[in-house]
Amino acid sequence: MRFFLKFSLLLAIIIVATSSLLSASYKTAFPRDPGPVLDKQVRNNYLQYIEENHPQLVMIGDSTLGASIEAETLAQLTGKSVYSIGIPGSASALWYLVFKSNVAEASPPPEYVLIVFRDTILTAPGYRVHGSYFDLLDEYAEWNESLVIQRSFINFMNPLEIQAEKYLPLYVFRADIRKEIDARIRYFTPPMFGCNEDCTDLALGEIFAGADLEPKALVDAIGAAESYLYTPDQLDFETQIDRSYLPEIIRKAKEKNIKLIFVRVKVLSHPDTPQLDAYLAALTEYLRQNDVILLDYGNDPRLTPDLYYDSIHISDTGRPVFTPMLADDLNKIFSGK
Amino acid sequence: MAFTSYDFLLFFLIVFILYWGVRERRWQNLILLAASYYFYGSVQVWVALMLGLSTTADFFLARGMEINPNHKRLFITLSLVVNLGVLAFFKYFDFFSGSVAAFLSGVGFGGNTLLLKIALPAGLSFFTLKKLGYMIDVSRGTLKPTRAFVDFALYVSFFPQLIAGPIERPQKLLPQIEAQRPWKAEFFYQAWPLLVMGFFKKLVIANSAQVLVNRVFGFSEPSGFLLLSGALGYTLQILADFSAYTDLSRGVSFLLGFDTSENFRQPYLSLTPTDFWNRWHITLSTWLRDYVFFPVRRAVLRYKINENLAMSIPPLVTMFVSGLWHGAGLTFVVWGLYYGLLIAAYQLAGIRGDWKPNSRLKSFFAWLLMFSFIVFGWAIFRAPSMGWLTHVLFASPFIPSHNEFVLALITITLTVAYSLPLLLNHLLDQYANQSWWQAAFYAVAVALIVVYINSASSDFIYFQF
Repeated sequence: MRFFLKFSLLLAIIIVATSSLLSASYKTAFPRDPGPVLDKQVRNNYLQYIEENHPQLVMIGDSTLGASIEAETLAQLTGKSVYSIGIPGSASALWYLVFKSNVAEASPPPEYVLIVFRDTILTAPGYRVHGSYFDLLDEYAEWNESLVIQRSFINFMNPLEIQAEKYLPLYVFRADIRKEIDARIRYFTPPMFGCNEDCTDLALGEIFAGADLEPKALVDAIGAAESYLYTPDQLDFETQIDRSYLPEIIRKAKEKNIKLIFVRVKVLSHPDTPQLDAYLAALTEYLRQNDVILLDYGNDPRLTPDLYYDSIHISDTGRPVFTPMLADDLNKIFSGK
Repeated sequence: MAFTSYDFLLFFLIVFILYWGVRERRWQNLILLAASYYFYGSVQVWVALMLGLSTTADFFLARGMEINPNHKRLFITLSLVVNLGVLAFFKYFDFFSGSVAAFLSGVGFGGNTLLLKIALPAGLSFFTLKKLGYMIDVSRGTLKPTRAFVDFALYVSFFPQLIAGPIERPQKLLPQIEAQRPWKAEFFYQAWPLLVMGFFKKLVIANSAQVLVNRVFGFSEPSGFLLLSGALGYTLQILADFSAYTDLSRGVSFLLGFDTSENFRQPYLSLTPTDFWNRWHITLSTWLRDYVFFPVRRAVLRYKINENLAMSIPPLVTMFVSGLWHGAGLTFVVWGLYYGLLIAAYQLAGIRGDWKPNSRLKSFFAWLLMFSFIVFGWAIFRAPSMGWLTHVLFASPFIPSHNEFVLALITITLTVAYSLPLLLNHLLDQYANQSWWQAAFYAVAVALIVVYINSASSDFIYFQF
């Protein structure tokens, strides 16, 4: 018992000391509202491009967008000017932010916006928002992005986390502290061998870009990351739709008179199941009710496994096959057929 | 339901209140049994059903051995067939399904559609050994079978041990299940340091090491130096991860009034392979010793064969079984045989498990040699395939490229940095147990746990696409 008391006393001292230090250094008063702290700067690089070049069709998606579609070829085949915003590691939260602050805000906005997605990602607001993904999100978010904070973060917190977010500075600023610890470890030895911080970052960047990756490790890594999209929660369309950004994207598009086209690409990592079929049927019906076009290539037999680089990315060989397929369907839409 | 999840916290809170609320042993056991089956069936109901059926079968087979001793051999054979059959089916189905599917496709049966991919139910390897130990002891007459079905079912399915052990022996757990368990504050004082260290080792150490280790073993052709750094990282990761689970399991058991076995006793300080297996996954080692090693040795001694061979066969067979138990794949089998060979070689050299060198210098070199063997063993265990490992060992250069060298340096630094808390805690246990220093260590550990909870995304590889 005495040992537990010693521990409790020292833990209390650590909590009080770190709380005072952190709240002072971050100039944050506690209790605070739960959710991440977003900075005030918003990137407008896409907005500038759209306003200067007036593309008629803007495409948004993650790395599968760039892997699947050749923007220049698509422009030639459709006769429309095309701008591709393919952000590796992005998902619905970032697409919503880019669409809201960079695309819909453009003057004039593009006529068409095409969003490339796979399976349940459109209604998975908690997918790819933590860790390194958060930094990316923060670049396109305003400081008071309440919808994003609620839908991508607070909705996924348990009651304990919400209390810690309100009252415990050590928990609130944990990502920054963690980064500091990681940096101390990362930059400790390489400088002794003549590799400074920039050199270390460059080396790690190249390594984690996936070069020289063992094929099975790549498949496993993708499969593990993607499995989030196929959990029972994510496959429940009726519950997920009101927690997602999809209604807001559709509302904003209507407000700005932008025609939305969603393109579902085929993946090899997860075969169709009855649950996924039910989800897709509900999504299709929802988009139809909202007059949004869905081009579904999820089960297209023309996209054979040999056209893929890995389980979700179409390869350099597959891209020239998929782009004309998409162009044909888009031309039908553009011509009103 | 992972021990480190919020769902488990809620689950345990409810169980804890109900369990200590009823006080009466039978009700307590019923609550624990129901909780264990809920815990196990919360992901897939059928695995809990399977556990229930095999438990029922073993209960009655054990009772059969007591009632009808003349048919002992039949009952134990039935139990072995059922338990090992289920284990082999689930554990090795995926291993063989690829070849079977290819064969079926080849003969026009469309193998992939015929064969369902069957995932190994978590914990099957652990509770199967628990049941087998019970059945073998009953058949040998060294254990009287329990007549209470609930007690036996609880022994098999006790949720703190269900997923990853310890593989508790009936002689230790059953008497506790059968005894009255009034609440004592001592349970809490035993539990909290284990829980703190369990969370610390898992969330702070193992999860941090995992990112770099996965990347190193994800290379298609890493240099030898990079493999060495990755193997060192994995040496830390697997100890932290596995011993964290045991700590949490023991901590939760203490909170329910059970004293369960420790599984790790500073295994990386071992001087010989036998010593290592006396300190690493202790409950598995003792199980293998009692039910594989000793019977094989007795069988070998019956034949008058070469003495060296007679000394070598039992460890080789035992460690081969250990490798098979750890997983379906050539790497696990080779890893098991590697330890079998090491144990045999040390024994042939006259170095037994309790060997103590007569000088500090000798001790240091003995430790260094054994530690090197351990690290190499983990390289075999973690390698994506034996082909990959042999290629790296014999075809890849040892000297790394610039980027690999940077990654190797960071992996080694990280391994050393995250090993220090474990070393410090060991020293505090030895020389300043329950002191202010150790209390401070635990307090800092809790602060670090708060910092490391969900603070980084572990999917760095994927992020780049």
